[in-house]
Amino acid sequence: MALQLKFFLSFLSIALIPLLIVSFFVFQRIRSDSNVLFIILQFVVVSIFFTSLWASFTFSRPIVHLAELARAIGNKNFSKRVRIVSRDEIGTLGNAVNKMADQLEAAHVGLEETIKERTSTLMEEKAKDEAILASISDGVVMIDEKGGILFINPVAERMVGLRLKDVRGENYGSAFRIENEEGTMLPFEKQSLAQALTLQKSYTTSITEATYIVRSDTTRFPVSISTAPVILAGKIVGAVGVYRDITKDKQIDKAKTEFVSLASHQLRTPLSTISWYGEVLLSGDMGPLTPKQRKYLEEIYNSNQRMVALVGALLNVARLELGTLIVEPITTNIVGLIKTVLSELRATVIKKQFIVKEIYGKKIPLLSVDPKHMSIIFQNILSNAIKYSPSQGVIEINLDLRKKGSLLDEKKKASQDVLLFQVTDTGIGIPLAQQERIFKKLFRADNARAHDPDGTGLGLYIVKSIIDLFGGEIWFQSEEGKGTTFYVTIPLEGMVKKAGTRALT
Amino acid sequence: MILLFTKSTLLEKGIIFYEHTKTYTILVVEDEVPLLEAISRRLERNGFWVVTARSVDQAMNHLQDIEKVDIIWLDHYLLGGATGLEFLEKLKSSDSSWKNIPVFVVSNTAGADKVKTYMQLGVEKFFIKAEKRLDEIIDEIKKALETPVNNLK
Repeated sequence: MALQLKFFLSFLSIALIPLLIVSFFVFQRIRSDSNVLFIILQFVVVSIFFTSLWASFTFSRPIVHLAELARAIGNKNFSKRVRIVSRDEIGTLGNAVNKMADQLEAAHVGLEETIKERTSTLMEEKAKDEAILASISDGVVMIDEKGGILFINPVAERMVGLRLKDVRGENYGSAFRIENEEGTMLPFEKQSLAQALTLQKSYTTSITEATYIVRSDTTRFPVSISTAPVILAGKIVGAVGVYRDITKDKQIDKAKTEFVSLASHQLRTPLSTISWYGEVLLSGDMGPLTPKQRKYLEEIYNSNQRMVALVGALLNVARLELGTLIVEPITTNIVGLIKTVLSELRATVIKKQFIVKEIYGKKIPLLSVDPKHMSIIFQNILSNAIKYSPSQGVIEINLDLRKKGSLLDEKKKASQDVLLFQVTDTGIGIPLAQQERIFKKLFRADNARAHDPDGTGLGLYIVKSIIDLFGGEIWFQSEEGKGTTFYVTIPLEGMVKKAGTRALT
Repeated sequence: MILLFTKSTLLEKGIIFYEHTKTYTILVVEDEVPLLEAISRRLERNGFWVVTARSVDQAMNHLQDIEKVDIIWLDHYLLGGATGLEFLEKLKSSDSSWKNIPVFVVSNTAGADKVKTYMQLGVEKFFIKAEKRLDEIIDEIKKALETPVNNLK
C-alpha cells in the first residue's frame, strides 16, 4: 500500500503542481471564457488524478508481488510465485525471484526426504542395537564417569530384579548389591566397575574369585564380571560391565575337584592295604619267611610303592591341569628352602659319596612365592641329579640374581629381573634325540629307564607346569654320558596368589 | 631247635607284650576291616591296648564305655555317612576331657582344605595312609606320647 501511495502522490504532484502554476498564470491573462477554461482545467486535473492512480498501480504492483513472495518464502511457504510479464528489469527480477523460489522449494523438499530417510535408518539401527543387547545372554551395565547407571539390559534387569526405568541415573552401588563369599557387601569403590573408572583398565574376575550378586529378593548367585572403561576422544566417559552367571561353571568346577579327591581316595585305599599288609608280613609278625618268600614279598611291596608314587604324581598333574590349584605365596627364603631339600637328600648323597657344591649369590632377596611349589621344583631337580649320577659324582648348585638383559647361559638373555637356579651333575645325561620330549607327561629317556626303573616320568612335567604358572622358565643342557645342567628362572615379582581349591601334595 | 626264651624273642613272636607301667589305650576309627586288622596287630605289638570302631556312632559309644582313651587314630571316610571330621567336631565341642585327647588323622584324602579344617580343629598330625609305613606312623604316635603331651589345645 505504502509504495502505491508514494508513486501516486509523486505522479500527482509532478503532473499537478506545474499545471496549477501554469493555470494560475494563464487565468491571470485571459478574462472571458474563464468558465470554459476552468471546466477544462478541472477535467485535466481529474484525468491527471486517474492517470496517476493507474500509473502508481502499474509501477507498484510487481514490486508488491515480489514483496509478498519474499514474505511467503520467509514463512517457509515455497509454493507461491509471481507473474510478471513486462520485459524490463522488473520482469527480470520477477523471473529471477521465481527461479530462486523454485530452487528453495526443491531444496526444502529434498531436505525433508533426506531427514526422513536418515531418521528411519537411525531408528532401525537403534532397534538392532537394542535387539542385540536384549539377546546377549549376559547382563550388560553401563555407568557414567560418576557411577550413575546409564543403561542395563534385560538380562541385567533380571539379575538384580530391578527395571531400567527404576534405576536409570541412580548410583550403581545403590542399585547393584555385590558381596563376597562370606556375605560382606562390597562398597562401590571396591567393585571392578568402579575400578575400571579409576584405574582405566579392563579386568575380568575368574571362576575362583567369589563374587555374588544379590537380587532384590535377597537370593544370590555367583557371577563373573568383566569390566572396561569407555573412553571417548581421550576422556573417560564411563565404564561398561558384563556380568555372567557362573552357577553352572562353579558346579562343574566343584565336580572336577571332587572327582580328583574321590579318585585320589579310591586309588590310594587298596594301595595302602597292600602296603601295610606287605609291611606286616615282612616284619615277621605272621610268622617267619623263607628267603625266597621274603624276596617275592619285597618285590610286591616295591611295586606297590611305585604305584603309590605314580598315583600321587598323577593327582598332582590332574590338579595342575584342572586349574584347581591353590597358590599361596608368602615371603620365602629361597636359599633356606634349597638347603632344606638338600638335607632331606643327605642320606643318599652320603651313600653315593657325592660332592655337593653350593654357590649362592650375595644378596638373594626374599621372594613372594608358594614354598610348597618351590620345594617340589628343587626336590625334583636335585633328586634327579642325584638319582641319575653314578657314585662319586659332583653336583653343583648355583643360585644368583640376574638383571634384565643379562646372560643366563651362553645363549639366553634374561627378559626381566630373575633368580637363576642352576644344577649341574656328572650323570648319565639325556640323549640328544630324546631331549625335546623330556618335559612331556610320563616320558622317560631310555638310559634313565635302564638306570632306574622306578621313575614316574611325571616329575619334570609337574615342575614345568608349576614354573609356567608363575611365569618362569626351565631348560637344560645335556650330553649323554657326561652330565646335565638344568636352569630355572624365577621372576623377582614372585607368584600371584590364587585361591584354588586343592594344593599339590 | 634251640629257642631262646629271651624277652625280645618272646616279644617278637607276640607271646608276651611290653610291660609298661602304663599301657596306652588307642581308639582306632577306620572303616576298612582288613586295614583295622593290620593296624591293630601292629599297635598291639607296640604295646597299645587297641579299641576299634568303624563309624562315628561306634566310636562315640566306645568313648562313653571306656574309662580313659589316650589317643585316637582317625580316618576320614567312615561307615554310615558321618565323617571323621564330624567325629572330631563332636569331640572338640564336648565339655568332658575328650576334647583333649590327641588325635592323629590317617587318611587317603588329602585335599588341602580338608587338611586345613582338621588342623584348625586341632589334630596332632595328618598322615596320608598310602605314603606312610605303619611303623612310621606308630613311631610318631609313640614320640608324641612320650613328649609332655601337655601342649593340649
